[in-house]
Amino acid sequence: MTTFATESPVEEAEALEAQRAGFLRGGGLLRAVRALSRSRIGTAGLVLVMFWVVVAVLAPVLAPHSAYELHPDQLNQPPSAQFLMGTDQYGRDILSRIIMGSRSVLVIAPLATLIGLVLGILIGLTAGYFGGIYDEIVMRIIDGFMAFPTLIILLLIISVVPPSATIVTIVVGVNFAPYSGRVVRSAVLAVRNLEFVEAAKMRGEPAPVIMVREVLPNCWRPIVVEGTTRVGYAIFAEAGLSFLGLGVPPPTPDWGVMVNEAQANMLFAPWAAIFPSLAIASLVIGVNLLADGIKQATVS
Amino acid sequence: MNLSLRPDGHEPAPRHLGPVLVVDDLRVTYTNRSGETPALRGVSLEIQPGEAFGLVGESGCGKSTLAFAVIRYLGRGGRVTGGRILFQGQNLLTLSDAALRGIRGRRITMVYQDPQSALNPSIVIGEQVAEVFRLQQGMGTAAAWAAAEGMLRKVQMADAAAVMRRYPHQLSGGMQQRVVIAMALATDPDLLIMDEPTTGLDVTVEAAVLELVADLRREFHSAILLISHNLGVIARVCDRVGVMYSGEIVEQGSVEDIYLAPRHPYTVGLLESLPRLGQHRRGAAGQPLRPIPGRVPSPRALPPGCYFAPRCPLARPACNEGHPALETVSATQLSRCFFWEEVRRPEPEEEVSGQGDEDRVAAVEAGGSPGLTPLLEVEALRKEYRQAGPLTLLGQAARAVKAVDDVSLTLPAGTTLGIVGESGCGKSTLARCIAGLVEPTGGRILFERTPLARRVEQRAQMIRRRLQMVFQNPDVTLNPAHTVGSTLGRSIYLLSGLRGAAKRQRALALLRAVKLDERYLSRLPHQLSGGERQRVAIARALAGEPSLVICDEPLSALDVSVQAAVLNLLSELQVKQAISYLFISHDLSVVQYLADWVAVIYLGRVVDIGPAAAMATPPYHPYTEALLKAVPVPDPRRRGTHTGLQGAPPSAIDVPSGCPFHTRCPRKLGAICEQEAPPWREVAGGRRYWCHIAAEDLARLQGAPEQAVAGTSSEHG
Amino acid sequence: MIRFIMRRLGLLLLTLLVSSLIIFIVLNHDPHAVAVAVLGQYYTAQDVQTTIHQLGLDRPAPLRYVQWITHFVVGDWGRSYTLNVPVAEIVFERLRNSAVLGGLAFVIIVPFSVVMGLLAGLREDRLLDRVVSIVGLSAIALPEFVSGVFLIVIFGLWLGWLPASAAIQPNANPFQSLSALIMPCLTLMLVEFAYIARMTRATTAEAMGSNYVRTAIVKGLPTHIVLRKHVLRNALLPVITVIASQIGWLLGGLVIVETLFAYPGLGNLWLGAATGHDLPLLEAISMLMAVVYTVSNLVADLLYAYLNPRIRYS
Repeated sequence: MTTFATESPVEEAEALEAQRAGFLRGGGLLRAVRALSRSRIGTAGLVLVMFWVVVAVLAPVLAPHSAYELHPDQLNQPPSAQFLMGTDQYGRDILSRIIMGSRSVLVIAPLATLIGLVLGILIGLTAGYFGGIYDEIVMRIIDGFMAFPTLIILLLIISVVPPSATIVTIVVGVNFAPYSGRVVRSAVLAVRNLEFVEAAKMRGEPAPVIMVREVLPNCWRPIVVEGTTRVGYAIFAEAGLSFLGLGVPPPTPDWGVMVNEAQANMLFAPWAAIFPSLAIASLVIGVNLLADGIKQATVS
Repeated sequence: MNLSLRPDGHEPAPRHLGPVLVVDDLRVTYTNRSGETPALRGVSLEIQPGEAFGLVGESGCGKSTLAFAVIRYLGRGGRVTGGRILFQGQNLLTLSDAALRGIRGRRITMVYQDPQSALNPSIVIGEQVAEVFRLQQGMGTAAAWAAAEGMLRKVQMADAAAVMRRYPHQLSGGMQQRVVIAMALATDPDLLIMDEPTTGLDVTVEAAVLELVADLRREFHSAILLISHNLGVIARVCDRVGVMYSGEIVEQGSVEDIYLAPRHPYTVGLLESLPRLGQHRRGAAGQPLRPIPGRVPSPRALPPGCYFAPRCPLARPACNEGHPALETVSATQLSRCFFWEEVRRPEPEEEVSGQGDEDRVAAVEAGGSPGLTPLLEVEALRKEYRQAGPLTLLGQAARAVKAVDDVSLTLPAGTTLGIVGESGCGKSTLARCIAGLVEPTGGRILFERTPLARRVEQRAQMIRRRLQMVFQNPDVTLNPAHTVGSTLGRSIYLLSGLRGAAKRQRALALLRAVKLDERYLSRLPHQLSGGERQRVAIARALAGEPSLVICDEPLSALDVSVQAAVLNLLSELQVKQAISYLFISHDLSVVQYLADWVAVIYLGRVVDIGPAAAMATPPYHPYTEALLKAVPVPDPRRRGTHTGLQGAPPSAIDVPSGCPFHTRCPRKLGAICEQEAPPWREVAGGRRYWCHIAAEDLARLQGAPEQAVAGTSSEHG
Repeated sequence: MIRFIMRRLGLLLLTLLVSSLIIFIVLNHDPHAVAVAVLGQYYTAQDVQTTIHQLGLDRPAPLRYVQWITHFVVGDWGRSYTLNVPVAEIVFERLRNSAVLGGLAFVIIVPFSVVMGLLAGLREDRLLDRVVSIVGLSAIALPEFVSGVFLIVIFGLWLGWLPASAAIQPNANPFQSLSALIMPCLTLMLVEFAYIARMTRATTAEAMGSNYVRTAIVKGLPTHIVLRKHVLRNALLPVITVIASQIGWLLGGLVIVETLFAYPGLGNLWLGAATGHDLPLLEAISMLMAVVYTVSNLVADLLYAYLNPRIRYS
């Protein structure tokens, strides 16, 4: 029973169930990967995500025009042979900006998730294992953070620092740490009183060794599920921040920024808003499908 | 109240003549993502009206599948692929859903294993029972409520009216099971299916539930299909028995046939792997238990011919060629063995004492004599849990749960001390205090005459080498992420300081000691069976050549045939490596078999302690007496002994005053038991017990013939 | 039960305290930046010092914190730097607008999502379940501004049915321009639906597979009774906590949706305060949001505890 609901109490419960179910099924990673390949949802998600990854990697090659170059005589043009997705209010080719923009989101989101996950593991592992006063304090602080909806606290922090890609990554990552920490802590709680941990104590393993060697490897299922779900939220957060003007600064070709810029002219040049929106939508759907597939794979 | 009246008030239609249930060559298969698994391979049986039929077998044999198939609740992935199920002549498999609903819950009812999860946590008990009356019998709300309360009284539920208004989580396990039984018998069904109804309940509670079932059979004439892995439970209740193995029935007959004259090697093996109450392993020559070698085959990879052949002592080439059918042994008995005529249950062996045992016997009887160095001394150990948190300042004072209350024990070197008690009595907490995993609130522990640090982290590595532990649950006793070799290697390194080749040699030696070969080094725990995991756990504990190993219910989660093998192993290791055991269990027959000394614990206190061989003659302390009577003995001739215990075990939060046992004691003297704590009474041979009744009186009362309990010989019939 | 309530209330206060600390530290750690923001484009170092002193930012931090907190609790929220009106006044005006928008969305979508989730969970793996799952997955995928953009383009541009902007007068009665509210509401509802429907589906599916439902079926109870009495009660209980947590999500979503549709609500105001470094406004709205979210979670927790016999009678 959570004190204050996490963002996803049922997801947390599902993740724990996956861990419990997975204990004796074993075969761990390999089995999960095989199960994933059998899942239609997971494969669809994987395909979508890989598509964008490839685009991001090959971006300079794929983009027909420069993402920054202005074409002053072709402002707000609808899609044509020359500009397959039209141009924006500054006369820049939207297609190229979308292709280059994939780099922005595909670097920031996973990196932020990683930061959040690593911090979360540090926090959750120690709090869950040691318990006591330390755990209580950590939990209260986490609750304090979680009293805010994610976006609000992000905005709060961003509003006092000058925006840049690095700042966004760090801030989003740190903001995720409490949520990831909570999930890790729950997973640790489920494991730390199990008998193989007691056996480790009986043979004199020092506490850090027990945490890393005995407890952590048995928490990988909820951690993986949490990680993949977080990436979706990270994309959300990054795009949302950019849309509000507090994320990656223009003229960087970031999808959220593009929607922001297209707002003013939405009624007579809607393509400038539609295409970046579609791009975001497809990526997030792909990530979520993948995350769902992975979640199912860890349970089966 | 005649509960079997139809709603329109008429007597029910005359019962169908002929068997209530006929299962005819039933085949069931489960399909999931990884393929198909046949669970039942052609099972046939018949149950006559009013008869109790027991289905016994180990995990995975398909007995639960049979129950669910009968009630047509196989769940997703389960399919009946052949055969018929005839209930009073009607084929259940071809019935429409509507007709099925008319039968389910009314003429066929079911009771399951885990009563807590079988009851809806959000609805009061009374409503859950009453709805059966309302919907199956068409009664009005008030009438149904009254009927429900009456039913609860019939299942001997104390304070039935109050229980009606409670929620499931407020009842104990035994009470919950009574509720489930009440719901099942409410309609006076023709067939009552009970799937492991007492597994997970304490021994005394189990005995009470079984007594209840026996009593109820006299009033409700339902036929019963009782499914269990516990041979004792089946012997207590059933008239006829079927033994299942790998999805088929391998022997069937009357309960006397099966238990006294079994004609299938598997049945014999099952019976032989149980320690007989009173059987002791004294004697270097034995009497070791005779476990069944090998393991149960995976349902997808069954051996050709007879499924049991690879593990069968009578196996011959013919057994691998043809699959045996059920052959008629007598008018009542069938056996699925080509060579059933040669199958015999071996005679119990004579006790043979060797020299080593003389020493151990002497050590035991000398008890606390100053000449012998005790290995372990526990003095006035206490462990209390307080329910408090940082914010309880606002609430009332924290309550203390006394898990361990002033326990003192001595364990001489080279012997085994068994600790017996039911769930919640504190034995596990006691074990963990000694192990250092839980910090005691008071008292002290001396190991090899020096005080032990309270937490295991604070103890010297030398001590940790010599004081190890084997745990209860084989599923989580090994880290699922590490191979056997890695787990053993780590323990060896930390406890013996060996590395490299020496470490590997030692790992192999340890595996050999627990009878596993070197292929196991690279295996992961999920690839091992429960028994194998427990062996690895034992090997791990031996890594540093310990002098004391604490065994916390190491057998409880294992199948019967596997228990015997592990028990033998423990016994053998003690002799070979001079290890002492602190053996904790709720199973008195196992403890009696392995231990030299036995301590009986009730609500955190030792109430009886003495040499194992003499614990039963006489049992002295009334709780010991009740425990002995409560153990379901796999001998149908020994039914009908009531434990006399009343009520459920009180919770550790509210320990009764005076003698804590007085709330349930069948030999309670009177007010003195409620007011005063009893004295320790000593009897010859190192026996002590905690009771107000004098030893001579107890000996007299308990020596009465009709209450005789199993002695060291088994000739009493 | 009383102990439970007391404990929860205690935790609530503690959490709000921690939240207020976080808000204060984040926003007030650099008085220099605040002064600069107030002064705008042209300023000298002297101006900065003067402003810092004027705004009282040179006093010790703990003092400022205590002063802020005590003023907040009694309702004295200061004066906005950028808008030059009492904070409390404008906040409550915008709050009303946001409450209408958010409340409307919530009230419509919660019952709908719960019902859909229930139906999906009951017929697990069948058509309805798959549809709900996929729609749920997609809808949850889209950030509000993305779905908002789609809605604007489809309904505002191509079909012309609805106005593309909801820029009503801040102090006007929002109910008078209902048609302008439809799209922002819809945008909010999409994400809520996805989340709530998924959760309900999960809890329903779990209840359906539970042992007590098996008992009910084996008792021979008719299906509708099994569903109504046994499944529903236990499936809906956890959903309560989820719904409460969604209020928090709603608060964040409001910021985005109000920006996209130019709706004069609290989120819009908050964003303006953030970009304008308007300290009093920012502090007050942030704290208000924290209070709303925390209290709604508390209410949900208490409701859950009351309805769950295991907690009520422990």
